[in-house]
Amino acid sequence: MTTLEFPAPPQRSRLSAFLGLALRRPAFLIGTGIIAASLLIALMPGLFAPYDPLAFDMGAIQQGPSLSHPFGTDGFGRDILSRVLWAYRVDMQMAFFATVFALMIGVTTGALVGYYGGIADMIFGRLVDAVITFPFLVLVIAIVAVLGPGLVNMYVAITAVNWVYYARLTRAEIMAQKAQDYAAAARVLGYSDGRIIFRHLLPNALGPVIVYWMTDMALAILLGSSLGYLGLGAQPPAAEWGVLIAEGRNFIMTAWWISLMPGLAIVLTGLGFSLMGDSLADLLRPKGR
Amino acid sequence: MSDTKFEAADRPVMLEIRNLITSFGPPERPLVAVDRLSLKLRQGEILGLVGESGSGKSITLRSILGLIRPRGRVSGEILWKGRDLVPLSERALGDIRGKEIAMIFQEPMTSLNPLLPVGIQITENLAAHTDLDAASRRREAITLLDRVGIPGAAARLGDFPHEFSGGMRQRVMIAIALASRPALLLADEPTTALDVTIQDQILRLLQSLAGEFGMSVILVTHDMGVVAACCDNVAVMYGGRLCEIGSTDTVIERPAHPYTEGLLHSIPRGGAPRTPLYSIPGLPSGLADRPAACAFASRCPAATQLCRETLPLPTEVAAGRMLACHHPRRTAEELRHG
Repeated sequence: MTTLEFPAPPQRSRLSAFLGLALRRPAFLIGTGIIAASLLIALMPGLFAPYDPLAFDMGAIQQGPSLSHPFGTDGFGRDILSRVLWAYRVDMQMAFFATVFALMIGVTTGALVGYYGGIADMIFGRLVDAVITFPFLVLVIAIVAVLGPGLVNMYVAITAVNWVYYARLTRAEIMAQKAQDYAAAARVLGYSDGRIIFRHLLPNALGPVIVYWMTDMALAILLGSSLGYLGLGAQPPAAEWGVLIAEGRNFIMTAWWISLMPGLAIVLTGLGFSLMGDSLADLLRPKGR
Repeated sequence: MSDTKFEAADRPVMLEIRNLITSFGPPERPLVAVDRLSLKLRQGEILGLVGESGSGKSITLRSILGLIRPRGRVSGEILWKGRDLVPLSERALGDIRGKEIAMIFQEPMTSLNPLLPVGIQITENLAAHTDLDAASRRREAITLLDRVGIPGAAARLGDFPHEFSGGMRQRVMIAIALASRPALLLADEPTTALDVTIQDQILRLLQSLAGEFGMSVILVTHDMGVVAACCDNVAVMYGGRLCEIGSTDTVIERPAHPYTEGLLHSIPRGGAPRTPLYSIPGLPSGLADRPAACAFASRCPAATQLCRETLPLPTEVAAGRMLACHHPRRTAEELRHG
C-alpha cells in the first residue's frame, strides 16, 4: 500500500491575508486612498501647490477657475488651489491632535472605570451626564472663549469635552468583555489587574473605539473648520479650510469658488475618514473575516 | 485495589473545606448558595462534585478561589495546605490563583482570548508564575501542547483560538492551566460542551495528568457517567448542601442517599425503544425558598415529618463515607460491609 501525499496547504501570512480581504473592499480602498493622499499633501504641500499660498497678485483678483488658476483666485489674487493644498497641513493636524489626546485619556479612564466599577464608575457616570447635557459645539466654543482663540487652545477645549465620549464607549466595551469567560480565566490564572485590563480586555474592546476615532477625525475637521470660520481656531492669514470659507463669504454671490473649493476639500477628507472607519469596522471584527 | 486505597488514604490532605457558607444578596435576607459544606481532598485525588443545576457545585469551586467576591460572601474555612484562603486579600489570592490552584471552565469556545495566539497565552502564564526565560517558555509551551495531545504542537503556537475546534480549545485551556504545574485543578464541567468521544479523551487526559503531576482535581459535573469514568471519590450536592461523600465505586454500587439513588437511576441505559426516561419528580427549590430542614424532602420518596422539620447533618457512616440523611437507603451494616 502506498501512502498518499497531500500537498501542504499554501501558507499565507496574517498580514497578507488581511490585505487580501482589505483590497477586495472598494470602500476601504477609496477611503485609505483619500487619506493617504491627504497625508502626502499635508506633509509636502509645496510640492503640489503651483503658487505661494500667501503671495498677493493684484493683477489676478477674484478670477474664476481657469487653466492657470484651476480653483480661481481670492480678493487678493492668492491662488485658491495653493491655499486649499497648504490648508491640508493645518486641517490634518487638527484631525489628529484634536482627537488623539481625547482618545488616550478617554480609553484609559473608560477601561479603568469599566473594569473596577463601584464609586469611581458612579462619579464618572454623573460626569458624563453633565458633559453630554451641553451641545458639543456650544461647550467647546465656551471653553475656547475662556482660553482665548488659537489652535492649541482649540485642541485643549475639544479634548476636554471629547474624551468623555471615548471613555463612555470604552467603558461599555470593557464591561462587555469583562463578562466574557476568557476574562474570568485570566483572573483565575492569577494575572494582575493591569495585565488583565490592558493586555486581555482592552485589545478586544478597542475595535469600535478605533472606528469611532476615524469618524471623529472627520468630525474634528468639521469642528476645527467651524471654529476657524468663527475666528476661534486657526487665525488668518494661515490657510485653513474654515478660515478660507469665511474669507469667501462676502463674495459668495460673485466669486463662489473662494468658499466652495475649500468646502469640497472638507467633504472629500471627511468622506475618506468615514469610508476608512466603516470598512475598518468590518475588517477588525474577527468573525467578519 | 485495596492496596492503592490504603495508600491513597495515607497521602497528605491538600485542601480541607470546613463549614463553607456562600451567600448572596442582602445580609439580612441572604440567599444561601452553599450551606455548611465540608470536605477533604488529598494529594493526587480526583474528586467528583455532582449535582443538578443550582445545587451550588460551581459556586463551591468559585468560593475556593475567591471568585464570587465582591458580590457574594464566604464564611467558614478553606484550608489550602493548612492556610485559610477565606480571609486572604485579592492580592494574596493572586499569588495562589493560577500558580498553585488552577481552574478550567465549561466553555472552551469562549475561555480563550480571541485576539492572542495560543502560544502567547501559554507562555504568558509561565511568564507570570515561573522564572523561565523566553526560549525555555517556548519549549515548555510546545511540550505542554504536545502533552495535551495537540498534533504538530510547534507549528500551532502561532494559531489563534478560532483556528481550533472545541475539543482542541479545551486541550489548550488545560495546557494553559497546567503550565505553572498547579497542585490543584478545579475543573468546572470541562466536558459538558464537548461531544461524547472528545469528552472521554479529555477525561482520560485529566486522569493521566493528575497521576503524572501528583495533582489533585475537583471535577464539577452533573453527569454521573463522567464521575464513574474518572473520579476516585464523589461528593453529591443538593440544594447547596452535601448529601453524601464516598469512594466512587461504593457510592455507585451502594448509594445511601435517596437523591444519589435518583441521580443514578436517571442515567439512561439500554431500555426498550420509546420508554420514557426516568427523572426525579419535582424541581429543586429556588435559593429564596430553600427549607431549613432537608432540601430534598419535597421530592424524596422516603421523606417523613422528621425530614421536613429537622436538617439531617452529615455523619460518618463508614470509613471515608459521609451521609446526611434521616432515612438512608441502606443500613449502616450494609454500608460498612457491602
